[in-house]
Amino acid sequence: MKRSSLEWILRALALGSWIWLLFSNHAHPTKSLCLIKNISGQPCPACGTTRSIMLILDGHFWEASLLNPMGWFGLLALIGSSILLLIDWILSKKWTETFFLLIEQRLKTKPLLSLIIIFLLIINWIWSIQKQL
Amino acid sequence: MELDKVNQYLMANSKYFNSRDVMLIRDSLLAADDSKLLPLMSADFKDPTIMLIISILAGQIGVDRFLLGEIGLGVLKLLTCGGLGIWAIVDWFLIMDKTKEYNNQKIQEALMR
Repeated sequence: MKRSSLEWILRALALGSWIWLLFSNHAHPTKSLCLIKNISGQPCPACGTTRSIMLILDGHFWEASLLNPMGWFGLLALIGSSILLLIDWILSKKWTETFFLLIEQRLKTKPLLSLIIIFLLIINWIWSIQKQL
Repeated sequence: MELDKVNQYLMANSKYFNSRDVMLIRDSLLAADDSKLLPLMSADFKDPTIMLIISILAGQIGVDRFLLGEIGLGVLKLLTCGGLGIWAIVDWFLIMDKTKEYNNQKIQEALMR
């Protein structure tokens, strides 16, 4: 993948996520945008992340973890990547992409780590389906 | 490689490549020697049509990106619900081209071996 297109995807994702969070905070949408949930009626692995982040921002940490623990990961990734992207933008560096490619390389070369992550994601997904998020 | 062999190879595999890349691939195949034939035959190409079907059915959880070896973007797509569904839909239109680019990269790797 070309580095420049990767940079734009990361920027668009971070900006889109902040706009989505801002929109969710004010509008409290009841309709989900998730294709899987709207078609099958069952939640996808990431369903509930926005609600979880909203709960974290409101200070309900335990409830957020019970709703979907991925909210913590999502919020940390969003804040971290936004700070890195801002530094890149101001100082004209390439830190975000380098960090991203480093993690990707680590996941490719360590199958055990990838397997553990996939296992955790599947367990979390089963839990989400059970909770009917 | 001989012209006949190259033409035969391209005829059998043309669906895997972008039409704009075919001439370049043909030139590099003609310049390569016969010892590259085995790596070329065993190169693991992805079928763009199958990838499109996978993208439509499971693109929301990033399976298409995982299959193209872009694990980081696959994880991001999975965690963001397919970029709120928008990225997943955009990928329906991009994935065939991306698959052909991936195949082009694979053939270049096979020729470099």
